[in-house]
Amino acid sequence: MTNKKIADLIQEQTQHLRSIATEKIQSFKDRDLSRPVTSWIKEDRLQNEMGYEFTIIFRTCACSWVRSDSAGCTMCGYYNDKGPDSIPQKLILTQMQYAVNKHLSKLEEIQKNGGKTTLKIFSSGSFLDDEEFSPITRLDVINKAIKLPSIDHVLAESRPEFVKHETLDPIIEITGKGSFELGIGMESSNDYVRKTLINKGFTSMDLQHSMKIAQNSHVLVKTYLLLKPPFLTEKLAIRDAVTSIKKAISWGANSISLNPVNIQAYTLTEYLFNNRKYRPPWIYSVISVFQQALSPSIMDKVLILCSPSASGSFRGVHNCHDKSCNTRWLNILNEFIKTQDKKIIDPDHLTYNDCSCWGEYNVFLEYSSI
Amino acid sequence: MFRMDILSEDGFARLCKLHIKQENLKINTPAYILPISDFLSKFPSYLNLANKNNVIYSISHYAQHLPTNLDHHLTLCNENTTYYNGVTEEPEAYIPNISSSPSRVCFFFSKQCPSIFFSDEFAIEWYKTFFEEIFSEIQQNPEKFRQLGGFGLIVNLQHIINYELLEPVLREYLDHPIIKEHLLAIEFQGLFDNKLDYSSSINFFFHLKSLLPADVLYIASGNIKPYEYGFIISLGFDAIDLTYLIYSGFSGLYFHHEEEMEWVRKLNSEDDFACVCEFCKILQDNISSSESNIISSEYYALIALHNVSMGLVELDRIRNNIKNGSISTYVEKKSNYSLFLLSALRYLRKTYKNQLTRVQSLNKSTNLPCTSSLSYSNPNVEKFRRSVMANVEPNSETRICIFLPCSMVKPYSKSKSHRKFHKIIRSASRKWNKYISEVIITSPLSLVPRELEEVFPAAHYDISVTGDWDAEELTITADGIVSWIEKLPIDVKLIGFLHGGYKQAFELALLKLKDEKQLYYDYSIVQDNDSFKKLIEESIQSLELNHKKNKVDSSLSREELTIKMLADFQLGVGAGKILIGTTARFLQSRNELYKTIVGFESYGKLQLARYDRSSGHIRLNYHGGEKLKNHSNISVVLNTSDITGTTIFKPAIAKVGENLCSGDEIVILGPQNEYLGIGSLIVNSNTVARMRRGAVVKIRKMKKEV
Repeated sequence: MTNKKIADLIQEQTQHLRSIATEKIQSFKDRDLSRPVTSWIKEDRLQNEMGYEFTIIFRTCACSWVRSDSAGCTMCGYYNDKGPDSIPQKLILTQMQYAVNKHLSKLEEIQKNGGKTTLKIFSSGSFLDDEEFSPITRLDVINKAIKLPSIDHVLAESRPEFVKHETLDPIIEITGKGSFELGIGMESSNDYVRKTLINKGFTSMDLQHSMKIAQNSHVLVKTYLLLKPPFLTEKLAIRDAVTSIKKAISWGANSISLNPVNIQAYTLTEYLFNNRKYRPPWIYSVISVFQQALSPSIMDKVLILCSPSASGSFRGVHNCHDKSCNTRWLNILNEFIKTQDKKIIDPDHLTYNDCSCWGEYNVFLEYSSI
Repeated sequence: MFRMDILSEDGFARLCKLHIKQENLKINTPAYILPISDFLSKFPSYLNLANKNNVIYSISHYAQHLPTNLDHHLTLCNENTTYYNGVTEEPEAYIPNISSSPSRVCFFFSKQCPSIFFSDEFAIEWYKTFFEEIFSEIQQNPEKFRQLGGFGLIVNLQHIINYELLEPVLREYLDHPIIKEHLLAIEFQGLFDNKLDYSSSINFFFHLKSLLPADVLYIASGNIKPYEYGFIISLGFDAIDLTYLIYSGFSGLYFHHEEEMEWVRKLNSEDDFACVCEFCKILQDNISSSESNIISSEYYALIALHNVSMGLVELDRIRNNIKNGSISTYVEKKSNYSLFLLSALRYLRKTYKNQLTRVQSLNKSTNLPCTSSLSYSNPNVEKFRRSVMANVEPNSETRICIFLPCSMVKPYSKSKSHRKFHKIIRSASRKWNKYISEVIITSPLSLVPRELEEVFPAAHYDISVTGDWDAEELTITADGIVSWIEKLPIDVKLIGFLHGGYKQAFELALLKLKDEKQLYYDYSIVQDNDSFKKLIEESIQSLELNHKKNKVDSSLSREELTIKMLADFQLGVGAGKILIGTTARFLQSRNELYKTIVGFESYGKLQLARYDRSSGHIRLNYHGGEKLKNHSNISVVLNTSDITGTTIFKPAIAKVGENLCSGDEIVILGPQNEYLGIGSLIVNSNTVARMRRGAVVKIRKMKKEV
């Protein structure tokens, strides 16, 4: 089949948009490399209970995939936060120190109250990529992390090609088994969706292989799934996400985070969105995916997460113009994530008819191509 | 699977019947397509909306639960979503995996992933992949494909910017033998979404339609508003998908009658719902009772239901208009509601003028109100003008030609003014009456010879008269007059009883003759009865002086002249003379609407044809047809002479005369061009070539077996 040509066209368009982004980034004043992109502490669902997350988003030289000729994924705009092409590694530690200083008092307070915190090390790239975090920096970061008050869990993200025993084992030696979690952007279990439509660049085989390695190194695996990549209708997107959740579990994921697409700058999704060829998913769809995919046995085994960015806004997951409708449904979603109780999203107990957009959603679901 | 028969055509618009033999089902087009989903099925009134004779349902999964009352009805199934084209997954099949498909379900091949195109180049690649996947799957699974009994195709044109780029690609694939042989229905999705570029949509559709078989169900879907239905159906579509109306309703867009629509949040009072449908009644009650109901989704469902009922009413009206032959005027009326639609219609009438005129049948007796300047290019009017110009010859003996203004009462001779004219002309001309011919000047028909005044649309049109003629009217009319005068002998005396615009047009014509062709005519224009009478008398006197008294009179009688002109007008130049033969005359039937044309030959009296006074149409009888068997271009040649029944189907047709329309009289000839009988065409002659099966000729009388 000539599907390759379609993949090429998607990649070309992504490259084109990325080159515009690159120009834009260069026009920004020098970014302060001694500070992370951002950092925060907030309530979060942990494996067994509610706790806190301490997130640091490091500014590095950007994800290896977007640095390559492929130009990165069609919905990802984190490239826009990148630093210069090479960052002195000591600055990474400075960034961490900055974030720790900022939030130390809060962490101490949590510890005093007996709470637990997960440290999330994000760089919008791969923690295991030596270009972004050199092996020494990586271990320094982990070493610092586990000494912080209330931290009992560390989460980092990486593309599967960097997942190797020789990289993971030293980390586990520091954190201990089961305390280090690796987030992998699986996006979809479907190769066509992942490779062609998302331009993610790896296959399900690669992914399964990496997950095996992680499991063998006693690393917990969290998979990120994308709800509604570009070029899928709402209905297909739901179907894709449902299948992907089931597959991810069968491949051994310990937790699953469903990420509804939000529109990020200089991406193909933004281009489509501006041309009215894309609509971020409905909140109803997120609920629907969970309703269809999750069985009690799954809920016992796996942690289900979903903390959508830009939720309720036009550029993020939303239902209608009505703010109260969005808030109501996001609250239901959050409640479900907090409690991991499927009864909350039981269709028999939800009242759908309150807002006029429920009808619109159902017709949209069936007949819209965007 | 369903079989599609074309029942009649009026221009490009057509009435068809879909049959499903196994289910004993018949559906008339123009039909509407109602989407059925689990969600929509929850509204019982939605399912009750449909009129069973005109509805087609569409579902998106074969396994979808259909409400019981919809079982056994024609259902289009857009089953597949092909996207598992990955490395580790098997591709999803286009051909559904079911053991035997019920005859009421027509499966559509469509690809929903990627669901949109970000550029035209992308669309082209998408289509290449789409068609290649379909063709290769069919070739690999011939047995499975055969079981389907045909398929439908969705051509997704949403977001296409440049149709010209896409067209060659689609042409290449739609020309494929699999499509030609097995295609049952084709849906053009989003073809009319881009209202600014209607002209491209029209070109694109016509270009592709010319490649596709005629007996295919053409479906239009996408952003189409009810007032556009008439126009779209007049292009040759058979069904409209009402999904857009439902979606608009659920998004809060309320369609008023005709062109207006309004967001429901702005409709705050009962009076805003100017509709008497059952749903609007509930809406009105709701609005007066409480505020809180107004945002519930049930409330929006009522709006959707109202919108659908609005669409259904519109389609019913369109169906009636096609039946009556008045679809072109109906579309003109509707074009007043949208400037985009107006531009589209003007573009269509200008660019496809010849094609439209060629397929326009004049065998009807509907009213033809000419309401705007668009009516000047109404295909009925255009066809009449062209036929008069090309086919009709004035009496060759004409010495005096009198030009008269039109009248409001039709046929003209029934009007008070024309009765008066007639009286004056008779009394002034006496026995010389046969050297006088009368023509009526009128807009937009330009010129109507007295003999053709009962013919459609001369006795059926109506135009608002203010006395002021616009430039276009004057030019059109003058051209008609020029062509008529040119056919008269050069020494003819032209007398005009004309004023205002009529006079202007007449003078413009004479000026044209003088300036462009250096032809000078003796003409006078009068405006009152006395000078009119005087002028005719004077002209008769000079005619008497010049006329050779002992010339042998071999001319046609008045009646024969009328028969000749009617037959020439309808059947082409020369037909009249052949039909009349030695001599012929009218015989009034008991029913005053009909006259029989009887011929007298040495071997006896023959009934040649029947003249229908309400439409001016001549219906040939067996002997009339026999006389015309060698007359060019009104024949249908069969490849067999073994015909039984009352209908001739496509496989028996060897050749059809060019440019004939649905409803036209034809002579049926056998393989050796031997005369077999007469009948009328069911479809336009250029449709016949694109048909795969179906009825072509309705036989009226066949030669008895010897």
